[in-house]
Amino acid sequence: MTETSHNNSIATMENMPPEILDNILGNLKPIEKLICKKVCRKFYGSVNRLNPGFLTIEVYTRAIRYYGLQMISYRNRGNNCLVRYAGKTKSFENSNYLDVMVTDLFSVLKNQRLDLKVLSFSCDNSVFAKIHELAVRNGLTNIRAEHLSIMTNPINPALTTIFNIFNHSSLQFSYIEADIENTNLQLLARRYREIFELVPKYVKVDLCVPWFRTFPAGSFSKFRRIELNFTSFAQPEFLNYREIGNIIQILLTSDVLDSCVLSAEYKKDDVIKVLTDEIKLQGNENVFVLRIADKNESYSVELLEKEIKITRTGV
Amino acid sequence: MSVENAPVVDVDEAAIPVEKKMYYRFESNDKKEFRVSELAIQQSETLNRLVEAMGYTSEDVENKPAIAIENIDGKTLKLVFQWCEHHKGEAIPVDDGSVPKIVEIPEFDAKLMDIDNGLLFKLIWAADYLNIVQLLNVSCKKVANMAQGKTPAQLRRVYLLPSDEEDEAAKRAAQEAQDPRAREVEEEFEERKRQGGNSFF
Repeated sequence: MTETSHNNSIATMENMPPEILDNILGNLKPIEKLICKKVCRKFYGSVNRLNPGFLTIEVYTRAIRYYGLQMISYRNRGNNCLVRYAGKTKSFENSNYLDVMVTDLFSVLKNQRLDLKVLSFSCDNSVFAKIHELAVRNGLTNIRAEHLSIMTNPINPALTTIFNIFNHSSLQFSYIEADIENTNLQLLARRYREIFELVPKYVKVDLCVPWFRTFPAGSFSKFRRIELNFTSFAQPEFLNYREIGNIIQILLTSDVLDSCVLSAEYKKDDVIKVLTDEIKLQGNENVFVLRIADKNESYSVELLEKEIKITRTGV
Repeated sequence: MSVENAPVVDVDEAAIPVEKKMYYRFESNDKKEFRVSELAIQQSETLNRLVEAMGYTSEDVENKPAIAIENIDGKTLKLVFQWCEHHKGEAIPVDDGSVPKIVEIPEFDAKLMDIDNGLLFKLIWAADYLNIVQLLNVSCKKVANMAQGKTPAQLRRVYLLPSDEEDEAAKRAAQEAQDPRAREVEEEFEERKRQGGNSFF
């Protein structure tokens, strides 16, 4: 029961106690809750106290999909922004679509009751730049999303903002770029290093890199769980002996690595040669046990088709 | 009002147990008196605790003055007790937040709440004050249903909420009240109006 005394008051929505208003608005569908934020201050406060009910949010360059809702798309027409949802279009005068879209996104992300499982960005730098701008202006940080999925070109300068704002326990990072011919691999490698310096060590990382030489191997020795996918844009398709050796050595000399899955085209003999050269190996068919005397640790290495699994097995 | 003239809430006779039932007498703030069965009272945590604390015998309930409910008028209290009598014996829902709350409005409740908004809001307040969980849930659901498919402007009209100008006055009053949380919400709302006055939600 609310503490508010109802005595001698006229019952209206305006003077409805917050707990009751929360109960009322808590019955609404997610989109209705969001629309209610624009009704008045009281409704705005109430909706912010309620869980918006989104488990997944997907952000695209010109659209956002909130779990359970249809896609909301945004675009400019002249000086106005047009927002389309469920077959209806609403126009906002003198507004840029990015302002409207990212403001909408933050109005959901700022909700303390949001229990977000997956936040996915598949967008270009303009969105990240706007997120950066609004996050700095509003001092936003530590927004929780259990799994962060990013599909973009890491060269996007504003991308680092994402890693400063969002608190996540797993990360899937995939490279997307239409014009791969003119990619500056040196710059790309540097950006990967900068980005993965920002990723906390407890995060489970799933990285898809297109060119092996851009892989920031040195940044990866801090992670406990890693999945690396090499979908090579370069020839040859296979990871060569030297590349595999480089990765495995770094991962095996990590003090914290528990498991690593490398997905790539490779030649089994190359891996066996690397392992045999470097460390004492006790192998049988496709599963090998590596004993590293210096670290007093053992790892199992499974050689599967297009996949190498390295798992710490103990002393 | 005398006990003899008191309005008696309709009771479903078939649902009455064989043993002798005790009916408590309650009085609204406009002096309307109601007789309500012991089982129906259990729907209200507040009233149930009250009558337990009083420890009335069947003679007491007839001879002692009716229990006054100061904050609720007779029209509202009649609806409340009609609802309690209809739903007596039903389990009281527990909302611990572990599962999403899904509220269905039964036919009886829908008819009972086919009333003007003012009375509906009073019913909500009464259900809250008397801690009648399910009545509060269904009445809140009824109010929420009014919001379906409405724009913010339409919602202001439906719920008789203040215009922007009146809202400004409320904002000033809230600031004067010096409530830190109210100020925080004000600032957030104002900030959103500044940067995202043009936002979809």
